[in-house]
Amino acid sequence: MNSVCWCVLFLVLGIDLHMPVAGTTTTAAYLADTDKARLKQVFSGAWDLKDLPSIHYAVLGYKLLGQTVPKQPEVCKTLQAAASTTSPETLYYVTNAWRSLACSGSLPVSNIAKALGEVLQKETSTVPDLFYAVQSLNNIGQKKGDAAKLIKTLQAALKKDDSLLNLGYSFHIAAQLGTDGTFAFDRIEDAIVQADEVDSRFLQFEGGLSITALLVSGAYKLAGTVNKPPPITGDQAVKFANYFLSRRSVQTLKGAYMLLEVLNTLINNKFHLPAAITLVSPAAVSLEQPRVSVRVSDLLGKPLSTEPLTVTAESATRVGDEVVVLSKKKFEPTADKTVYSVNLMELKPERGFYKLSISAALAKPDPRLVGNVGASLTVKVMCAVAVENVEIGTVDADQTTQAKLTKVVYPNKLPSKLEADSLQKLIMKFGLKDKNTGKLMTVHQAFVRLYNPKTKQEIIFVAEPDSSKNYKFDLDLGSKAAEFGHLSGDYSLELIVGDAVLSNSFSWEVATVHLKFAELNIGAAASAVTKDAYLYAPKPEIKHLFREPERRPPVFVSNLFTGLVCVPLLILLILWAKLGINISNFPFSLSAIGFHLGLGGIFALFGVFWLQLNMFQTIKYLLCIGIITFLCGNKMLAKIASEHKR
Amino acid sequence: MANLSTVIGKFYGEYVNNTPKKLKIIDSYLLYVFLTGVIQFVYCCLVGTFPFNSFLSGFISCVSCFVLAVCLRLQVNPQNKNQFYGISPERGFADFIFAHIILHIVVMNFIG
Repeated sequence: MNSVCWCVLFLVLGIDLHMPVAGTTTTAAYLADTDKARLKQVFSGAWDLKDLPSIHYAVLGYKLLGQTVPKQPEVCKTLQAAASTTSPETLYYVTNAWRSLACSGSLPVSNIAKALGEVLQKETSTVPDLFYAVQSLNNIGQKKGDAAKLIKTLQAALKKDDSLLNLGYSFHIAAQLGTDGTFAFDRIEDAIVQADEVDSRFLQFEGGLSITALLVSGAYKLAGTVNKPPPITGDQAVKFANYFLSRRSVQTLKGAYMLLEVLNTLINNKFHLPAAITLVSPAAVSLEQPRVSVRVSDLLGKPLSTEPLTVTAESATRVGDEVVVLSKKKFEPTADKTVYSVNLMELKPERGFYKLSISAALAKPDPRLVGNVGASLTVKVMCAVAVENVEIGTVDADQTTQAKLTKVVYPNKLPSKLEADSLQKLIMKFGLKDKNTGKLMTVHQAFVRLYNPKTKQEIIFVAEPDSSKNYKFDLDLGSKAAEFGHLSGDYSLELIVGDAVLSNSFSWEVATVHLKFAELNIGAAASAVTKDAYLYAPKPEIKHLFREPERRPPVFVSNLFTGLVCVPLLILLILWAKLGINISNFPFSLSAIGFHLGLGGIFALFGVFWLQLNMFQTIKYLLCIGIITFLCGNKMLAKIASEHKR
Repeated sequence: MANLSTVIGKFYGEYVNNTPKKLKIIDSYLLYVFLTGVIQFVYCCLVGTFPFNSFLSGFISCVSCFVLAVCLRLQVNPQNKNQFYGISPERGFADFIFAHIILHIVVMNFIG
């Protein structure tokens, strides 16, 4: 039970620390050093030099992280070997990585330029191919050729298919074209409108991290090139930033690179600078730890400017009764340029959960700064609890006598053993006081645990507070005897007090009680035991009863009656003989013989049908024999009829 | 009572004397079928109706044979010539045979 209590407390604490930011216009996270280390780990998978795109993303990713690429000569050699291709995508990877590494060898520049020039000239090139070609030509320092033709091809391709992917690539292409890129600037709004808002906190495009990063970085790059602010509001920028940071645990190389690249774009562009305001100190604030520290930084954790910012806690509202305890308290800067702290306990707030609304402003106001107002962080003000006025004792269940109560002081244990039997009630009264304010309080968990050390069984009851916040624990031993299993003996009684805002939740062994329960008679005890045992023991086996065969008559009776049935046949033959039946008139003609044979055959067929055949076969044979029989019979009977007439 | 025995005696005498031989042959066949049916029924009463389909098929075979033979007798009887004008006794016999074929295939199917 103790461990469960602590687990619950820990969970509540843990949930507090990771509570999501409720505000919509602030960035709730930033790329911390641990995240950067993890991304570096993702990139380091490419150094077995097996996959060209991975090498490309890893080289560029390392550069963005400020790390040096290992085995640089081998990487350059791999790139050089792969440069003899005409695929624009491969050339893009090769030239991009080459330029980033500033490799010392030389690439077959003229071949590459020729191949890419063809791609640019072809009117059916896809938008991604155009992007790869333009970027690669830029990387090797070659001119892109006729910009107008490129724009025409691009616009034709977009008309055919203006999916988000193509739009993203076209923004990047247009960003390379200088002022000619204006044609694509108007499409930025079309693209941004297609973003999906999730939870009013994230903005993302369908397709996930790569497409969103491509579009956002393309939009900002293009806006920078044509020097016009992009049709993205500060709110939207912050929501995009929130989305990217929510994906910072990406495991693919391409995703990791796109994430770093777009975060860099969001920091280094001329239009928006999202600020990240996050809680640095533990979310639990108490007298021992009175300061709340927040970090105000850009998305990569760097300071927003060289001068200190003015960070203000606009308000602190208690969750639940919405009482505001402070307004406009300034944070003080600390040694770390991005961290600011404030002493919250100066205001002597009551225990509970508080929502702090924080704003940060630059000394020189920067119009780019977004997401710096109204950041909502939740902290928890803890208190210490003192238990006092603890009295424990017994009283008769029918309340004829006064309760015999003894005072106990925490953390002592009652020196004598308390005796109680099934006619009595066990009573404990106590009060829980908030040490900070000196007032009585109620807590989430006020449990009384009775533990039998011999059988290691325990049972837990809840102590209820009354209207004046005094706790009372009342155990009627007579009615609760069944829960104890009627097991008399020594039990240790513990008081367990816990709450999310308590800094000193405790479990206190108050006394040892000797409980005497009425002995159950054997039958009741046995039935009480077996009832539960039956629930968990295997059930009785159900024996399947096969269908009993019908009663058959004895064989003798059956045979007797089979014989009896033949008797009328004998009678018939005798009668016929007496009547003088004869076949003297049998016409030995073909038809007569055929008829009789056919008829015999039909009845023989029926016998075979009974034994062997199915109906279909029988009908088949019957048709054959039947036709013969019919024809013969017809002829024979006609002859007899004509003879009769004569 | 005496009247009853006189009536039966007279009836029997009339029957033996005035019935054509052909009809007597059919009548003895009728008696045979009847007795067979009775014996089957007694057996069923004794040992129960399992298997019911076999009992039914046997019993109904007897009943149907009886009915068909009665029909044949009616058609063949020269005294009924007026009622069966246009249907010769041979035709009646052919119908009798045809009906028997159908009856027996049904019975064989049902006997199980």
